Amino acid sequence: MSARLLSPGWKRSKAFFAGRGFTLFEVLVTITLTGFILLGILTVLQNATVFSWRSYTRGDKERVLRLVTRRLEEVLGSAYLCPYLGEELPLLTGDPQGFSLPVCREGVPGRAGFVLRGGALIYRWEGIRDGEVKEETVVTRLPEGAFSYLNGKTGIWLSLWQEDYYPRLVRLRLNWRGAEAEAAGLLPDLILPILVGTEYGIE
Amino acid sequence: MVLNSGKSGAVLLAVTWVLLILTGILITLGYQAQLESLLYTGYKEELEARAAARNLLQLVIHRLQHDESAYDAPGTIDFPFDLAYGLGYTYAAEVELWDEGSRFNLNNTPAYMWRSFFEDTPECYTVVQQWFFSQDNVPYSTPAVVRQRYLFAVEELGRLPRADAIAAYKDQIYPELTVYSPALFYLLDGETFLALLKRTGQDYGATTEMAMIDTFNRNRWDAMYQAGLFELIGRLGLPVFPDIAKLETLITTEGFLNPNFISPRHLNAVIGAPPVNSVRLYELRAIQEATPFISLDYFDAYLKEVYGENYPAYVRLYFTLKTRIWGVRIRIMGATGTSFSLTAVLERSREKALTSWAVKILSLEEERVAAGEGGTGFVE
Repeated sequence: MSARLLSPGWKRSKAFFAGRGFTLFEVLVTITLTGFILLGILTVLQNATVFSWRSYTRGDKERVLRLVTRRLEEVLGSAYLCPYLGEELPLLTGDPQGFSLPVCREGVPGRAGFVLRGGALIYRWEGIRDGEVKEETVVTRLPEGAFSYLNGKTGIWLSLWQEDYYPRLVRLRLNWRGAEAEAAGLLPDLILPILVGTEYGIE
Repeated sequence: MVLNSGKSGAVLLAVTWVLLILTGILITLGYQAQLESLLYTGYKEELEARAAARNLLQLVIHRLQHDESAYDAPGTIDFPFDLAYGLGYTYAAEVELWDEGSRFNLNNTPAYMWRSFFEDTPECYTVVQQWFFSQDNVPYSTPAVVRQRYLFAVEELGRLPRADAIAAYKDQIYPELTVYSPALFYLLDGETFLALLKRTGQDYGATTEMAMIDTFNRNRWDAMYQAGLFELIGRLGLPVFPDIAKLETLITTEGFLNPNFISPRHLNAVIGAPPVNSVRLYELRAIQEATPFISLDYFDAYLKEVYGENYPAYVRLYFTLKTRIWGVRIRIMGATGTSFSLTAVLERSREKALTSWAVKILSLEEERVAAGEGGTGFVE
């Protein structure tokens, strides 16, 4: 056997092809080695899958943040103010559950805003001329959340806003309930500026 | 080597299968990672472009605040990239500035001026006049004495009933219109003045309304000189004295039309049609580009050429050489062209106690121009 084991590969191959087959020992060693290799591969794959799933689940939080930030920026970054229209168009009105403000997109005036309702963040549009109302769910699985508004004149965060000027900042505090238990929890506060109405050089 | 034994093929097959499975798994994982990376990169670029546009807007505001020039004219208000670079800005971007305040504001001007403004497009005048004054949305309804509606944006003209009459002149008319300029006291008539009062929340009976219009129109010529709003309105002897504090946000007594940017059509509307044989009005654009008015005296001389000696002296109250309402458009250039656009309207004013200008953002519109791949990772 030892002579067979020590014999060069080409000779063994020659013996194998000659129809002598493998010894039991050879088969056992092969199976054992294959088992080790497969075990290693499976462990690596399992770890990679778990890692991938966890990072994807954790990424949910980041994706929620990105989505909500973008949608809020789109609305707050397009706030409309024309002081020469008088009292025709009330500015931002808001409470902890949501806000709305005038925007003018491609010449269509309307009130756009967000509402926290039934564990979801909902985008709402209401046309000023035609009264058309459109709602769109942005994010679900939000057990808690609250908006607040920074008064630029007093420097105080308020949960209600009905002033005739824009707040300097809008803050959204969200509690996210992800698919995985470890992905749940408080998201970082989203604090976004409203540039419209800002005055520079006024002392 | 003999390959036809039927046994070496089994090993080859097994190895191939294992390799295929491994490759499949790696491709799947790699695709997820690539997708995630792409989404994040797209979002990061978007954030960078937005921040870059807002930073550049701050530089434009800075420049407007520290503008010491005697007049604003085409060529003097440009914001070249070299200037931005000098201020420490390195992002690829384009800045366009224009005088928004010297455009014609249908909301704050009398209807008789609209007729002059739309002199060569009378169908536009009809549509606009009917929409502003109709008491309901039905065309040809009985017109009200005071305008009932206001434009929130110039582009709204394209959505008025029978707006197809305007559509043909869209490119010609829209760039000459605005909603962001205040009402100039010297250009008001009784109806426009009453409409402004209503916009401040005042509500009068029909008799009082008619008396206000009539009194304003009769006495306005006694109030055509440079003074504060309180004094000028005091001269009118109105039956009800209005709330000046509220009106001051809508009406100004400081001229804000810049002769270096006003269009011939607008000039025609505020001063009146020139004599038939006057061709100088239509040379206005060329004059503004080539030899801008560096003082109001030069503009006065030009008006004399156009209108003769008989145009009223108070016309000078309408104008200034320093632009008040600015339009700004910033385009951030990405690798594949414009990727982000920011359009803002700024109001610049100077109080006597201040050495530099004060600037206020009146309007802001941000837009992702090329919505390529990437983003939030959620279907929107």
